[in-house]
Amino acid sequence: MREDGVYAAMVRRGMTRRTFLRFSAAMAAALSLPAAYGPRIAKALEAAPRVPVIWIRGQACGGNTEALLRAANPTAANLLLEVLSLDYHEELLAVAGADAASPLAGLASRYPNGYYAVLEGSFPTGAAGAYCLIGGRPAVDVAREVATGALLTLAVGSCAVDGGAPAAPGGITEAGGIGKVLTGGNFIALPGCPANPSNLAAVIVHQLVAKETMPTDLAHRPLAFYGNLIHNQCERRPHFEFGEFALEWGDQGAQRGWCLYKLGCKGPETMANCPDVRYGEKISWNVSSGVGCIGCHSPSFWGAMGPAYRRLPSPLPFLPNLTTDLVGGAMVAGIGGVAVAHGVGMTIRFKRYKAQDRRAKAKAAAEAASATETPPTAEPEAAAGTETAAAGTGER
Amino acid sequence: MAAIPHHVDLNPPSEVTGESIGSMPIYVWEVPVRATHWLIVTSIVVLGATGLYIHAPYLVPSKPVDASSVMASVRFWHEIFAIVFSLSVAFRFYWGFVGNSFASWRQIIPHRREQFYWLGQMAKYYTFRRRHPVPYTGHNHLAGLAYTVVSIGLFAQVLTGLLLFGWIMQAGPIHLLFGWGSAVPGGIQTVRLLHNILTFLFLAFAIHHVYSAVLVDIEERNGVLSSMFSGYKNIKIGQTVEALGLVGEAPEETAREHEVDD
Repeated sequence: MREDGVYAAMVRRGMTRRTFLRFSAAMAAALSLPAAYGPRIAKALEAAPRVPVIWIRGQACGGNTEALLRAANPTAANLLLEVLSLDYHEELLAVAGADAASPLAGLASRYPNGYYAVLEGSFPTGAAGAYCLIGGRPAVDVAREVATGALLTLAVGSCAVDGGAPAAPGGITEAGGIGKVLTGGNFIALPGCPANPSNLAAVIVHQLVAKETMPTDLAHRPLAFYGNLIHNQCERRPHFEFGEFALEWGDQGAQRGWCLYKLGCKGPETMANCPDVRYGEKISWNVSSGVGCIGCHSPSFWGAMGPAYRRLPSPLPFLPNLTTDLVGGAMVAGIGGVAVAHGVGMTIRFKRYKAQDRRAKAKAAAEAASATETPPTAEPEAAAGTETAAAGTGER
Repeated sequence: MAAIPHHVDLNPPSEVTGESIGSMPIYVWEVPVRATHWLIVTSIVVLGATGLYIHAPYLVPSKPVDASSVMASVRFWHEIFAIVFSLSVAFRFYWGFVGNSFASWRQIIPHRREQFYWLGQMAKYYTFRRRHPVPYTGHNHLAGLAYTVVSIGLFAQVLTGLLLFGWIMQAGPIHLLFGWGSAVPGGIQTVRLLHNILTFLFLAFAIHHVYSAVLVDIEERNGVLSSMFSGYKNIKIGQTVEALGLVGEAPEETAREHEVDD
């Protein structure tokens, strides 16, 4: 056991061995590892050094901090961050003024063994970054400074990952996520509104234990948390397969806990482990409490996953109330209408040409009759027959 | 290149058709063309019905039921016919390179000057400015253009379907090849939107397709409807664009006399 390590700090803060083991088992579960990995994680944590964390917040509601403070394994997750020595976090700082900003000065000399950077919230670049200042400096510059020197950067919450609500269509601050802060790819993205604190804790534990970054997808999201479809893990999935859907909020189906697919649940579109880890001390998540998923773990979800209570967005972005059913139905009906109208036109035209042909034939027959001085009624069938053939071949 | 009809059946036409002396049956649609056509028709019907159910489930039981896995069955059949559909589209695509001249991509995709000329003539016919449809043995070129557009739609529908399937599957070869739905601008919802809108495009096209086939069948008396079963079209001798020698050369002079004088 390292005296300056994680476990030692936990013990100093009054954590029992039993709680520590339970925490290790919970982390194994969060990392989708078998239970056998719990003791191994405990062993690795005993030897793990403390790593300081700098938590920078840009434009955000603070929801990720709130979620963290009410985490599923509250004591453990909080303790973890405490033993991680959360050196800078604006909401949780006791000091103020120049003292508060001191951890940000001379990061490299202050933390020779490195530190973790956690970014929360989006970082505006409009008006030279004046929309969000930290200690009088643009937040994006502070975040870039902190993240560039960090061992690992974690973008926590949708705002930090891709700009979230401040970067949604209509935003004026030219906000962006970690893409505006870091040019390289050495970060882990934990999108979500809020990101699940269990996942945050598990990322850090994985980093301490395995000493390598978790495997991630193309969007830098750890596959252990963002590798499964919510729809495939959902407790209401059987109702989906049985065709049992809530049709309106509060109707019989909703009261029976049927599938929320028809009310616009984005579970079939969203990759996250919400059904497993849940929120609020693991009590519930939104589908459990009767509201569909809004896809908040998806990239740019404010723009891409709306409207929240409909299956699909409008096919024409400038007319947001349209549905594909309406547009498609109108298109099919329109083509059907054109076909009917065209058919009527063709019939009229066909009759007109037939009458024209008949007149032409009668005229030709009359001319032939006057030329040969035979009665015009002599051979009308034969004349008509040859005329038809002539018309048929000659016209084309 | 002159698309000279081959597989000419030399039975006396009067015996075969019992109708116009000047026409003869010509083998136009080969078996793979007809087979893929009807497989695609069947698939579109099944996929349309099941797909619209998956999009907006309209059969919802009023009370809990036991083991009537409606959505599961509908999705199962949607996926089975998606395979039939994809393979049919793929095979028809392949046949566009090895089939006869009527099945060839050369007749379907307009790319030569006279094809655009005849395409314009057919458009004139549809807008009442030309009396008779363009006498063509295989596809007329306006139809060819329509099939080019629809083919792009078919491929797009197969691709978006595979992206959605790869999204749901999470593992396996489909996910490996088509698991990049999130990389599409706007994410997987855009893929879903496209997949849904294309369904309506096919429904609209089906209306137009059947209407035009019936119209040309009535106008031409060439048995275009039954040709999709038998493979034979009843072509009037010496009247097709091919037989008139109008393929492969500038057709303006010869064609002018075919237009309506009024």
